[in-house]
Amino acid sequence: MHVLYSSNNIYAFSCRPEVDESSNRGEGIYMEKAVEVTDLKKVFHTKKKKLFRTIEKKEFKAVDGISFDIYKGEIFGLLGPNGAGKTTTIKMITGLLRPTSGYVRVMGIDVDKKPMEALSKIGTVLAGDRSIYWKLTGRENLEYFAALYGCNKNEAKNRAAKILDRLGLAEKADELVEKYSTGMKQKIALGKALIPYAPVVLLDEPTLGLDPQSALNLREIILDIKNEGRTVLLTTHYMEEADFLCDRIAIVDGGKIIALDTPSNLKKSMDDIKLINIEVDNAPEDMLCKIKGLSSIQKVISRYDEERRDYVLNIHHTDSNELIQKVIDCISESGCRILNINVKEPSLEDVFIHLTGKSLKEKVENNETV
Amino acid sequence: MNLKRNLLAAKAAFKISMKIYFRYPLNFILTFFDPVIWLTPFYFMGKSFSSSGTAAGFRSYTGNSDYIGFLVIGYMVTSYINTAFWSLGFSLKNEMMQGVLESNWSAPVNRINLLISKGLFQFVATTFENIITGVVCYFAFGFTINNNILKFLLYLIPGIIAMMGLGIAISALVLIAKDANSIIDFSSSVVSALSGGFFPIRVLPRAIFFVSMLIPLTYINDSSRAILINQTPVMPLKYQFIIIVASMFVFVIVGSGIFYAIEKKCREMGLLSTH
Amino acid sequence: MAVAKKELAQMTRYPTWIIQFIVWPLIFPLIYILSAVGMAGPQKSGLAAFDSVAGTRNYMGFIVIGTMVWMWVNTVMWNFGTFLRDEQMRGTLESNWLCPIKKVDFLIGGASFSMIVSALLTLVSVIEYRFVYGIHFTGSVLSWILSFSVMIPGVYGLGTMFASLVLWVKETGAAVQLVRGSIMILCGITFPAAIMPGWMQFIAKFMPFTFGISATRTIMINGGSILDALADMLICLGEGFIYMIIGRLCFTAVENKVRNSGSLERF
Repeated sequence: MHVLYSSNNIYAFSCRPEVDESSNRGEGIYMEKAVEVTDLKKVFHTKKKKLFRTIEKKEFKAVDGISFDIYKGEIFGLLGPNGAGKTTTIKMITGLLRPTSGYVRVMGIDVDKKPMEALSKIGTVLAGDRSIYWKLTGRENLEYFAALYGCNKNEAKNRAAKILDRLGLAEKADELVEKYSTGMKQKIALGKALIPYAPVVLLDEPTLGLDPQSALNLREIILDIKNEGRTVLLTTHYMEEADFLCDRIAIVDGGKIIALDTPSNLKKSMDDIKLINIEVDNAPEDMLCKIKGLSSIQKVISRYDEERRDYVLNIHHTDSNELIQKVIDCISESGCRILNINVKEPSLEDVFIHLTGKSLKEKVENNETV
Repeated sequence: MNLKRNLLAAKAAFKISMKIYFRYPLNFILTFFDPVIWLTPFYFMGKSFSSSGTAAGFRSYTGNSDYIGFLVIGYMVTSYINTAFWSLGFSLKNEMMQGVLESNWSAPVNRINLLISKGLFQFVATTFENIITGVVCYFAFGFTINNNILKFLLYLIPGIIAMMGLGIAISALVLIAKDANSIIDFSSSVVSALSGGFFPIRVLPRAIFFVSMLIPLTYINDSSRAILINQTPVMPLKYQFIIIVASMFVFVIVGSGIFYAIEKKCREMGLLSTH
Repeated sequence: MAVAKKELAQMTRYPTWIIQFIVWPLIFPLIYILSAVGMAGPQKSGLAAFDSVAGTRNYMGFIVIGTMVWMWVNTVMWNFGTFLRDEQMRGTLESNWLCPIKKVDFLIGGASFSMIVSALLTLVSVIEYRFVYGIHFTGSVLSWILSFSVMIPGVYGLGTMFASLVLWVKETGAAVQLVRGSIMILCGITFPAAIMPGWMQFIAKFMPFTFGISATRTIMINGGSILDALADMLICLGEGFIYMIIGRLCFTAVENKVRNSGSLERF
């Protein structure tokens, strides 16, 4: 049994099939590859112009040699901050963007060499609620995209009706999408990905901008997709979503994969690392340096919480909890007040912060030790 | 199987273009007013140069003084040119701005097929609008034609196919052009004008007249007038037919080539989701 | 001011503004000029008929005055309307309207910029017509500026009404066609208004630009003075102010309607 979290509130319990985690890569019951990404690179060239003359040329490596395989029937997550290369990777998998080098195979088909064949194996949801026609109804959108995947009129009608029902949109199916709420638009976009009954489903931030209940519903649907034997590639900002849904996660930063494993293995990698979270009223540089200077400190990450208007210090260390007193002393000597303190088990967010030095959601003052 | 899928997709694309077209009712209603709005100034201009109901000056250029017939036919052919430049030419840019271009292109359908199907609807809509134009102009300006409709269609249909090829090329170029509006506005006006949409090309200085003769659309205008309102053509009709048919092949092949080249470039540069 | 500055920055980032400024003023009237050449005939046999209605044989000058005014009105109106429409399509209209400014002021910011652009466009046009088409304009520069200036209130008023229409119907293209078409027909842009039937001439009298264009032609083509054109200019100015008031009322009404129906962000 697993608890479904959303924004730190417990909403429901749900059953999730247990993943065989005996192997490091979570291969276990998944043997056949649905998606193979091999040494994918994408370099963008930008030019700065002044009065029609090019004065500067820059190269930007959005994806810098990414390789991973997704096995049939698994939910694979791509996690990373903005600009990490997640969406660029997804677009290369769907052929919307040509890689500079490397290749992608979907169900054994090379995406660059046989794009139409590969695309027939993929259903896609792109980020944002503008990937569907606002001047069509929900039903018309789904029937149209069904036709693009080769469904005749009756098939398209039946599939659209089933999916609308499944998504809870049957009543609003004949209203123009421009009148839908954000959650409903996201559902139609997801419906567009489900309508071809493709073996691989790509979801780019599917729950972005949704309220907790809608996000929960969508996550249930994603699990159902997996239970049907389909393969899901998911990008998300929400750590708890990735932790709950994904069989394996690749953490992407700066266009590279910096970690790839099951959620529990990723958390285990932090076994030797202990965490202290301290809320303080101020975080001057000299105080942070003092804390960093203590022995056994691995990382000190400070971020400003706009809601509470205080600073949260994330301290990663390998010492015993006796270190806490030393940290408290450093803070008191700097004249700052401690508002809250807790010692916790590493979560996926902590793994992420430990590996990248950044939080997914907020900008972080990067004060990690080398 | 591929053919079946592409036909289904074509039908679906045609259908949604039609649905979206009718969901902007003001655009449709405008069809009744547009010809009057555009042609009335020319009509009154013609009147101000006429005496006793005859435009003697105009007759010297075209063979008869039916300047309103000249203008209405020019308007109709220009509508097809505008469809090629704007409706078809801008369709991908519009989809990009609406955020649905990537959704369409991530489906396993030939992209030109999708474009042509949506474009085909636009041309069908233009044809329907031209019929309405003819009726409105009959009542507003006394516009009439003879009964050589079949012969006219024989010249028009390859001409429309040529314009679709042109539209495909423009739709691709517009994807990579910034501020495509200005470029298209300018280009479509120049092409419409130089192809004899609004005035007899014989009034042009020699060098520009020569340029007009190089534009295949000139022959669509000229042959239509010769066939429907008995005006004097610039060149025998059989030669004009050959030019129109040849340009049909050229525009379609070149247009498709440009489309595929630019589509590839867009995918390399990641431009599909930007505008 | 901030809005005008933003608009200027955006415009100059697109190199095609050159086409708008330099090429378009030459090309646009050419269609009508060449049509007139066609109507006049190779021996100019139609010119006598034109002279009897228009009071001048200078059909080129006659046409370019009309088209200059039309381009000016059209540019401002287009900018008023598409300014809001573009923001709507981009999804940024609501963001802008959340700022603590009067919505009409937001519109005027965009309009002020387009007024300046249009004035420059007119200046470029006059220079081009003089040196490229060889059209001789009569009167002083001051009198030219005055004859154009009296049309400003009408342009603002019409632009505001047009922006209201766009906010309401959410489609620029059709609305632009209707309004610009009406001006083209009724205000004698490319033909003498006297050739129109009586009922159309009557309707034309309710458009300030009819009088504005007539005044401008008196000064710039027919060698008349400001006094000769004074009556036309005063009527143009008066009607223009009425248009401004109506425009403001329309905009406020539509703004309220749109807020009630929540359709600000929909395109």
